[in-house]
Amino acid sequence: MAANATYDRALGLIFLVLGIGAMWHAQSLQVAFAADPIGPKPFPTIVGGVLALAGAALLIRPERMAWHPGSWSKVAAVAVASIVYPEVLIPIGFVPATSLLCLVLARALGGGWVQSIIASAITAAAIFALIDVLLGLPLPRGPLGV
Amino acid sequence: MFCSGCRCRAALWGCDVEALTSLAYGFSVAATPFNLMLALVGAALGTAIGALPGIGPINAIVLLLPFCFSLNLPPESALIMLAGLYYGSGYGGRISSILLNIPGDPGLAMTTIDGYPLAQQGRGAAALAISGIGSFIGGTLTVVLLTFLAVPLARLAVSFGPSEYVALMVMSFALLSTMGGGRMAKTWAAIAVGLLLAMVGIDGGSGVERFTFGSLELLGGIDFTTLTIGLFAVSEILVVVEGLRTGKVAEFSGGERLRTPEVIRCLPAMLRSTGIGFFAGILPGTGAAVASALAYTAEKRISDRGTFGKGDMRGLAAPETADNAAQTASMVPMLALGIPGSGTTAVLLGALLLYSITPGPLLFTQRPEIAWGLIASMYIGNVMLLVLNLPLVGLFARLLLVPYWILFPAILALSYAGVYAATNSAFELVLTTIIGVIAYGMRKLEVPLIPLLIAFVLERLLEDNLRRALSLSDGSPVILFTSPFAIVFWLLAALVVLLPLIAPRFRARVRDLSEGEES
Amino acid sequence: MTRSLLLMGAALLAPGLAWAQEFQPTNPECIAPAAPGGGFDLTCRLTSQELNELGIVEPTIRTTNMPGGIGAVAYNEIQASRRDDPNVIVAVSTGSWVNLAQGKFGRFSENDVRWLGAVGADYGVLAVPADSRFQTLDDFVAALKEDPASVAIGAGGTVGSQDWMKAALVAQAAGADPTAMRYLSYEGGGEALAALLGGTIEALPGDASEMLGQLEAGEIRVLATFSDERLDGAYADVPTAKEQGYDVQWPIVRGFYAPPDISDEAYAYWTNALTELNASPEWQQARAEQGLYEYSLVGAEFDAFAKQQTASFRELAESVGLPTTGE
Repeated sequence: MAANATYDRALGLIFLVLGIGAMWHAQSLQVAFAADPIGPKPFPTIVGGVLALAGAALLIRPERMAWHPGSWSKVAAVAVASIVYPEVLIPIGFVPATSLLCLVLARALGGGWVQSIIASAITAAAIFALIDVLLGLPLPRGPLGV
Repeated sequence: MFCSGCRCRAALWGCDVEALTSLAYGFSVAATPFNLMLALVGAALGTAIGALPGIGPINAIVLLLPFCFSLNLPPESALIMLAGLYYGSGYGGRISSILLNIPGDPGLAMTTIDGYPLAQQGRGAAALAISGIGSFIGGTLTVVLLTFLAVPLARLAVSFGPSEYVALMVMSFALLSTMGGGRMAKTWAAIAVGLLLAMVGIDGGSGVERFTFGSLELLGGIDFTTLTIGLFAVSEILVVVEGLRTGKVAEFSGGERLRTPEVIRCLPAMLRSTGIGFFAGILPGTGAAVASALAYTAEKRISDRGTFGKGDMRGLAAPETADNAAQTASMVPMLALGIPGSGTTAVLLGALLLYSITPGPLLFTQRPEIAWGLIASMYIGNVMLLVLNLPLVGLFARLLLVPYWILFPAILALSYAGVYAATNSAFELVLTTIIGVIAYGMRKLEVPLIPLLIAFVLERLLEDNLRRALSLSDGSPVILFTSPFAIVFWLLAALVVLLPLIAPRFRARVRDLSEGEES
Repeated sequence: MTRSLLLMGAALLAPGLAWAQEFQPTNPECIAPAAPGGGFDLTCRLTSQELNELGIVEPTIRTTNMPGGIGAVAYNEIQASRRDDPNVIVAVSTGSWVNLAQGKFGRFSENDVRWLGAVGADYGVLAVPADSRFQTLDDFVAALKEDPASVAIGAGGTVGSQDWMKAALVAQAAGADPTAMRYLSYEGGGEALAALLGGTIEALPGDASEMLGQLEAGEIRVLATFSDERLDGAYADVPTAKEQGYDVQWPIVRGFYAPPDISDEAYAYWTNALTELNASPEWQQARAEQGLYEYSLVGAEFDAFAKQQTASFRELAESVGLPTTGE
């Protein structure tokens, strides 16, 4: 993909919006009283300002950047699996959920189907044994009890 | 009245003799076969637990406490084992930081900057060895200082008021701004994002909620471990999945061993970093993360000739040494004054309470077997850890021979399990992932992550102390410049910022002058 | 475990027997709404251990950590997904009620759980350095009365937290405006203690147990304990605030609550367990070793106490203009 300035512009815009948002949030704080002369507002306001300025600088003077896409679909698959993981962790239990997460990641990293399934199940079970059974830190147990 | 060793300020020599006598007594406690074994168990367990991302020494200590009780261990033995676990974890954490670019603990983020490039160059084993040696030097020198000067140093540390902290933080930010690399606007944006993230939660000075958006989980702020795991572990795994990383570590083969000249070259960095780490460690509130950040940025300022960040041994030795020095030094206020200097020492103090021992300034006289036994065990423990770790670096480095499709799923799952086990909250996992995905995007767009993390660490120290200082002075900023220590930090900060501006002109001036003389 | 299963089996077979109708937990759990190592964590682990060792609760009680907002996250988790779980108890302390009163627990109030009972209490104390200009609470109050901002007070809590409220109550008793106090908020009790010993702050409203070591060593002077009667040990010579003419009491109560929709049998089971625990000499010893004092309010009395405490904190917060849930 050819180098262009769109990425820097987009990034600058995000930073600018976030910075202004932070300043606005700081100003909207309802302070009954503060125990110090500064209070909770100035710090986020100033830092929000710095972020907005940095964003503006990128927006106005972007540099041309090449975006190397790599294996997009794999990254997306792993990211989605990681976001879904906490949602299914409690309903189905640690070992099944973690096996699935590991399976997606193992496949994305080039493991074969059979190898990946076996390795994922063993990894999940081993971590459960280590943390829940051995260290005694409770992990969620689904319908299967693990 | 306090530590038997340090009451006599005038008769320094007599003081040392007394400390040595006490230390000898401590060794008689710590060097029994039983306690030696416990120290070894603690150190080995600590290394193992430190190597697991997301499970810090605090959890490990809390979990081992009931075992100590059920085994009816005497308090000094329990403390020797738990302390071994604590500083042992400093040795374990570097493995994934150096080999995989995944720091499992905030204090280890700086380790990756030069540690990972070394691993990429096939020198993973050598990098592990140098960080082991650095940890040993940092830990041992700190224990020596602790032995002889614990009480006066602890007194000095608590006398640090808000204005000294403010000046120290300004100096830290000055050093941070020289980290360089990439575009200024992006570095500043990263710093600002780190600062804003640190502001999430209830504000101490007013009780107001900032940036919580009604979320109860965010009331207490963003957890340090959550941020580190998301920022570095999750995003690194996504980078690996993308499969574009050049300089593949996979081509690793045994690697060249660490050479003695390399160690000698690192010694000045290690000594400086011990000082920095010790200093940051004894101050209540600052900890290993501040110590390693300060040590790295300072070392870069002193020694960098364009090699830092590309696998310079000194850039690895500095944060590793400071990390361990700070961990050990945080025991100083705990032992000398009964003040917990960090989360982990607070838990160790809690362990004493469980044994019906009141931690406090009287510990040295009332229960010398605990205080001095613990100190002596730290000498022994550091030697054990070095002996335990050095022969194993080759074995640790073989971790990289494990296929990625087995290794990285295990790392990711361990990180999530560790975060979940400590919080029991799915929200925390979602937060970790979101931070990780955003951090991945920032990496792609060349926004540096290290300044973000350091800014996060420093924000509360800066804001809270500035507001405390101005609260004491009714808003007058003069208070910030009134103590000798504060003035020293302000001057250092000015030096850090101004030197690169002045130095080239100064050099040019000197050259002009000398040329003028010649002609 | 086996025995409770047998009991359950017996209960199914012989429903007519009175003892068999009693509730028995199957997989009991104690939620510590804090990270491992904190005060809540100790409360859970020690209480569970004693309940199990004494045989008061047969199945092993597991401790789960659920940090966030001094109990807010756990409170909401109970409301959202475990409203009728009879196997779970959650640790609570005075700090939780302080936050509950200020709406920091979300939309839920103190009427949304079943308060089980207390197992012990620590007490607030007012500490100053050994070389302080204040000799008695009167000296301190006089200084506050003259100018509330003339004394730098610091503690390991935010404005509105229980450490702040202790100081605010003293100021109010002195007739001074709490919002005019010079209050420095620290990250934790340890940092505040360091600031006191280092001379940054002049007074620290802390807890009796965490100040004990410093008091014994003569590093600090305690001007008053905020207890009904004098505390024992090193505190025996320290007068209470009440003795000195200021009715400020601040017990830091440690106890438990249960989800709102559990059966009365389950509620009775847990309150009986806590009553039995409080009466046992083993617990009394374990409690004393932690630096906690007796505070054996259980059942209806504790329920009334929790609600009354929350209401009074709400009143105090309102009087200084802090946001509250406004019952």
